[in-house]
Amino acid sequence: MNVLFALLYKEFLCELKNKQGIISSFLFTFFLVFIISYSMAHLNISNNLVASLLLLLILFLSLTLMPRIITIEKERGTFFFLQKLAPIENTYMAKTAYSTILNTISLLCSTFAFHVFLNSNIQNWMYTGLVLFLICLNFSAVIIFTSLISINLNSSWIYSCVLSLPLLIPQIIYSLQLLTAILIDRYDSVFWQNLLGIIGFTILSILLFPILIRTIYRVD
Amino acid sequence: MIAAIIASFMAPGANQFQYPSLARIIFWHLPCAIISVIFHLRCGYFAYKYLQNKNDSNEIKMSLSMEMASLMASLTMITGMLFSRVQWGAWWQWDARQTSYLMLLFLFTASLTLQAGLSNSNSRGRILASYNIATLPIGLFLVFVYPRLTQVMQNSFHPSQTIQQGLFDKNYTFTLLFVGSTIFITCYKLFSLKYRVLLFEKEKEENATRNLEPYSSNTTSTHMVRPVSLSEKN
Repeated sequence: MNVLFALLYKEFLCELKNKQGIISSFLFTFFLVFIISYSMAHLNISNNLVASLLLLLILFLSLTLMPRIITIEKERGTFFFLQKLAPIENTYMAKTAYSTILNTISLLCSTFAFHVFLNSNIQNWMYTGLVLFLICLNFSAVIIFTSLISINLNSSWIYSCVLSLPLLIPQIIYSLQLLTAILIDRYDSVFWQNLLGIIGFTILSILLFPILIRTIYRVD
Repeated sequence: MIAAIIASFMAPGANQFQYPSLARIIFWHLPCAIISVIFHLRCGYFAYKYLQNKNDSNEIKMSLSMEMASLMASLTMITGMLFSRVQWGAWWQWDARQTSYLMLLFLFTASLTLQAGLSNSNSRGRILASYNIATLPIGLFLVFVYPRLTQVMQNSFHPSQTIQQGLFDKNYTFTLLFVGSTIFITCYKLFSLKYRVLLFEKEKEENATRNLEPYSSNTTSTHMVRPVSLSEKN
């Protein structure tokens, strides 16, 4: 547990030093939100469409920035030392936690920007935060897993995107339903059913992927 | 297989459909769907076995199971789309089952892409097995959970409770079982045939590598090497 927290601390320390992740993720999301809102400003768009756009934004953000967290370690040559210093499953957990926190904050801000620009009907920001956190955690768990696979194969991050998308299908289905429910402010039984579904997949990812990563990186 | 084709054509058409004769496509569509799920489960099982004992035969079985699952899922998609075009008027309906099978096909394709992209490195089997295990819950979700979600089920045309409610005609049940078991046996035969070929190839490869070993790794060979002139033939 100490190793995990030390790795997480290292991630935030590195981030504070160069601020690359924060700046790029915020700039990227705000730019996308602005472009989408500007093009939709005079159209009477449905909440379903806004939910789809928000999900698309999450996907873009996740697929472009999350693998970068891993590939940057490889490019700098620090991944080798990470492997030597800490068990790979701890590195996986720390990277997942770090990217979840970073993306949740960034997405909360962009959802608020959506709310301001497009006059959405979001009332309950606690549920919005919870849903965005769960979506980010799920996406991070899967994308960091596939990024570690592609690093092991010495492949580019595009390979990790190809491998991630099919594994993200249930999360995308649940996320779309949850985001639509949030945008129309309807928290009925279907919302709770979807929330339970995404929580189930989160638990599964967090329990299963570290074991699989340890198996992949095991030295015989 | 010929008998199965004849049997499926001999069954009477289902009158409740727009084109009763084409309802017989179910004899091929349903078994293909079930067999694809069976092979995906087998793939997960062999992946788990491989991670336990690192046996090459399990790696081959895992890869072959995924290939068979993809083949069967493709056949399910093709027959389903044909049925949709004739009975419902469009190739694609955004029906829950149709969509979930397409997503399942994406999943299988990703696994096959990984399989094709991996060279014969040491970690090949481990990566493939781990990814296949990761795909297993997603596949089960797409087949058993997603089509039954409340918000999805409302818009589905797909008949899904026919067998459970015993709505099948006796003739249909018998033909379905006969054709289904024929397809399953054929698939299993194909699987074992390709397994034997791949295993043989692997053994041949290993033997070739082993024969090269004394010259490449063992420098303290006990064999004598005598210089021979080129003209000294017999």
